[in-house]
Amino acid sequence: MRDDDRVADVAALYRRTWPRLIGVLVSIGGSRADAEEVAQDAYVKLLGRWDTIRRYDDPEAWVRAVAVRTLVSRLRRQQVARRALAKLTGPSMAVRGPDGDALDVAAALARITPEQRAVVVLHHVMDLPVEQIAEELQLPPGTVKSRLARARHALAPLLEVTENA
Amino acid sequence: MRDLLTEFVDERTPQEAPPFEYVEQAARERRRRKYVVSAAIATVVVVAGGAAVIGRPSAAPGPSGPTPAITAVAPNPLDEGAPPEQFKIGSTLMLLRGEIAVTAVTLDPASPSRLVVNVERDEIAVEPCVPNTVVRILSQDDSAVRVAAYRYGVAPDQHEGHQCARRSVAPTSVRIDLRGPLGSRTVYAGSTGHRTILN
Repeated sequence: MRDDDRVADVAALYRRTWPRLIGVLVSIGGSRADAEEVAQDAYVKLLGRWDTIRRYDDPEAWVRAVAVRTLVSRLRRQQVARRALAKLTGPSMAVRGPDGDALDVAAALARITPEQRAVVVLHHVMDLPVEQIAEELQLPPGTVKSRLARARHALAPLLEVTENA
Repeated sequence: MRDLLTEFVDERTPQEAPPFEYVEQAARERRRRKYVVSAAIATVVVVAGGAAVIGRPSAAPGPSGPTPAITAVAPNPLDEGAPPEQFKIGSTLMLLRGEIAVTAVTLDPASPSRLVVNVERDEIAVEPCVPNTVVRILSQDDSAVRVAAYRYGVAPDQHEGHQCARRSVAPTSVRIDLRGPLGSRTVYAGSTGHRTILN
């Protein structure tokens, strides 16, 4: 495949998928800067491996999987660092819950782990089935199901929504 | 919950992507870093190998074997000796355009063994995509150091030229490490002549 064609193909996919990927990554808990950095890394990798990945059914899924996995492990490391710092310097201010009747989705999501946020966003927003999430995050389907259940259990009262699922 | 979450993600979804050139630039930078690291590792291996050979007792003289092939690698700006005729950065082949003028040399205030070598501006590739300026230590002894600067150009039929979306300014200043303090030694600039530029 010619270099120009490869760049044009990846550029088209990038323009189409980047905005939603950033929305997903920021919602999972990254800062906008983190999200853009992780997304750029994923597209750089895609550019380097396009000859292989273009044959996949859904190249967008590949980029999203790489970006989400990278972000989740980055958030996990940040969480470990924050806990270690808290042990050294004493506990910081507790995270406040939603105020009054306001449905503060951000505050609610902040109460669950990055791993749980990832499965919740991929399942409820991106409409991905459990099997696909398991594949993208390289997890057993059972783990995805349990994370989803725990996340729903934690989020339902905070979002004041009755879950039937 | 689904609606709330979808609305939440929608609010955090930007309208459009920034230019794809940023991704291309990052990809190029990553390739460049990879090759710099490879070149550094190759240099360490060659130096270590050379040291091992020098340290070994010499064998009886005999017929010499075939000369090993030399692979072109990106020149390390700290390297001594004549400049290579060509080297590769990523897949881009760079060819030696020629020697350029050293305009000034100063001692780096941060290190007594490091020189800051100023060179003339690049009038041909004003904004090259790849590093194209190299300074070499041609010789040094107890009384003098000779440095010279060289400029390279992208070989014909390379893709780098038209893929270069975010160009950088060609360097006019390069740092080199003498691996020992300059002291009161004289610095000569250029591969020939005795143009004293420091001390």
